[in-house]
Amino acid sequence: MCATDPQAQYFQEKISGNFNGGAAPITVWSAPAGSYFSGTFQVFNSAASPATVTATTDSTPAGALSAAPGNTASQSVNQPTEFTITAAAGDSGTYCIILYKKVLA
Amino acid sequence: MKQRARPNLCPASSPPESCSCIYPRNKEPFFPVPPSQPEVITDEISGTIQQPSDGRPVQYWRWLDRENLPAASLTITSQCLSVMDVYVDTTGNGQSDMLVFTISQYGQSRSATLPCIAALEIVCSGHTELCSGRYGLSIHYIKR
Repeated sequence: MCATDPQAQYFQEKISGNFNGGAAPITVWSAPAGSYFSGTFQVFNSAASPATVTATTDSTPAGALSAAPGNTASQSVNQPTEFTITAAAGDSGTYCIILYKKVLA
Repeated sequence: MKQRARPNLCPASSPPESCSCIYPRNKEPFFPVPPSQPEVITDEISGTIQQPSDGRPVQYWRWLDRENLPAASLTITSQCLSVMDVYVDTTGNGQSDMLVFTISQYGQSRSATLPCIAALEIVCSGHTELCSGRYGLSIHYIKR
């Protein structure tokens, strides 16, 4: 018996963008619950940034990332619904998200 | 010169008696073929945002088939100092009345994933210069 569901289709989606630090955390991506079964979240903090950037993922379990200036941090989580970046004024960089969805026939 | 007798070969189409179950081969497949899966189509759409910062909506993308709305991931990047309000139509009724997010910083991107989308509109305000940026849509729908 096969371990995988022959009727299911899987597809991958990639999202990327920029962030600029400010007073408040920025939710750079959100989705309804159950949209994706897994995701890899990556944040790159520019070498010109004065401080470390942190990020959190609403997922199961919750994800947490921290990237010093010039570094990239990434984490894979299950059931993601939101990705929020906290960066101080003057910090900047990019985020990249890879999401995995299962579509049943 | 003595000629050798030709062996009594059967025609190719006649099966050997002991192998009648597999020869000739049936045209029907031996194992049942599973029903075909619905095909998920993915489209990548992107473009430039340029509009006055006058508080009026500008539509950048629209889906015409109300019966088969796609799911989508949407990313907007601001390249101006205006406040950008991003609205979508999630029902196909022609009203882009759902505010997805607001971007107020130059260079900032924001993304959202939506189960249904029919149109994308952007309203710029708060600055006298031209509002500019980029949008990207990744839409998924079932082929009908």
